[in-house]
Amino acid sequence: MEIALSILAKAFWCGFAALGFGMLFNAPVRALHFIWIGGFLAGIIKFGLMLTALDGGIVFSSFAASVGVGIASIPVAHRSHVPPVIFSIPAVIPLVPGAFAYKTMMGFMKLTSAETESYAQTLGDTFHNGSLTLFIIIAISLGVAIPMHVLRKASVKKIRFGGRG
Amino acid sequence: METSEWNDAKQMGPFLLNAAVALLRSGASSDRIRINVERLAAVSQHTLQISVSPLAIALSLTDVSGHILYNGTGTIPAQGVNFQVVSGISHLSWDVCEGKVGETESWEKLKEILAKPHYNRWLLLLVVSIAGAAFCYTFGGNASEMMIGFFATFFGLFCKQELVKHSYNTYIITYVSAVTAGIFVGFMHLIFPQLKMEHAFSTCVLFLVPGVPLINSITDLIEGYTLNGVARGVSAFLHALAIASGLVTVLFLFNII
Repeated sequence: MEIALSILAKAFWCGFAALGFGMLFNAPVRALHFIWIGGFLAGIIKFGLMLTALDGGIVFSSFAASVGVGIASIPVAHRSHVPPVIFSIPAVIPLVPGAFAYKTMMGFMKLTSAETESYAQTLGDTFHNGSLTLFIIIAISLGVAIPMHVLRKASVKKIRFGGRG
Repeated sequence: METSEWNDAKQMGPFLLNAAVALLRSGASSDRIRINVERLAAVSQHTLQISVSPLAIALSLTDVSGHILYNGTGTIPAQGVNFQVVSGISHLSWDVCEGKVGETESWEKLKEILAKPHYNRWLLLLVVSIAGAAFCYTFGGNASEMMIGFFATFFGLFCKQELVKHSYNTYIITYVSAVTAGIFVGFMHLIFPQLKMEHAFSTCVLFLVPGVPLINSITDLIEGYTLNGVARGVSAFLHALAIASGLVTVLFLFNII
């Protein structure tokens, strides 16, 4: 129960992070509530996979979250006549590994100082954080781009849902 | 609408070029620009050739026998994200394609889209600062760190808005904004040394993250626009470097390293 509440709280704030970026990118007003929902969805998937017994790992969880947002943005774009990237890009911004990027940078700076006993440990940590940062960013970008390409359509307007033509 | 009214290439060409340049400037991926402009051009009987470069568009219109009717190029000073333009032109391209608007009306609609204002500055500062606090929470920050993250983002974005008005180099703007946001956290650290600041410090600059160039870079690479993908990736990397340099400067100033 506690974990569920923690996931919900993080997802709730992910929605606001996405909304802030949506407005920073000057997204249309009619898209803003979908952007919040997209950020919330990204948070639910990412933290749902990371913090529960599933233990998905941060790279896979971020990838799954961005694929989820990428897929969800297609029917939303279809309905609201706005390109899917308008929702999907701000919605996945909360997945950006800011803390890992920061730790990587700090690690590289420590490595510039004279060799100490903990040099090998710092080197290992820095490469670990750097690899996570790189792969999370690639996972997010690919995750958003893939759903459109899997469907192999140039425009979401050409993707049909159910019986409606 | 009469389709024939679009058949003057001297009118059609500049319209397509303006739309393509606006999309490039507003942060659309290369293939999105091509698809939108091709959709607009489909209403005429001309054949469109378009080349999308990182900071320029070149397009030509030819008739059925291959004679060039229009040749045009357009450049942009720098890219800035504006999803209202991306969304508006996409919508307009469908209206033109489906014959809902004519040539004169399309020009007017394009001008309308380009003239649409950004969100109110103070509203933007408030919402993006809330986003900064939200980032802080999702990375494990507590209430006091969220508050510090809020104000650090506020001052950082305020600084960025001021610098943008003076058209400084985009990477310098990112660097100075990161320094401003970081300095606020640094001062808070001096005033309240008992408070944890790590999360606030690492997340107060996330409003500067080049999310759109980063994702467009991968999209362009997947779609075969390798040159544009690499250019956008390098630009995103330079922004990340500017953010990191800003934070390092603050750590140095406050003697934390």
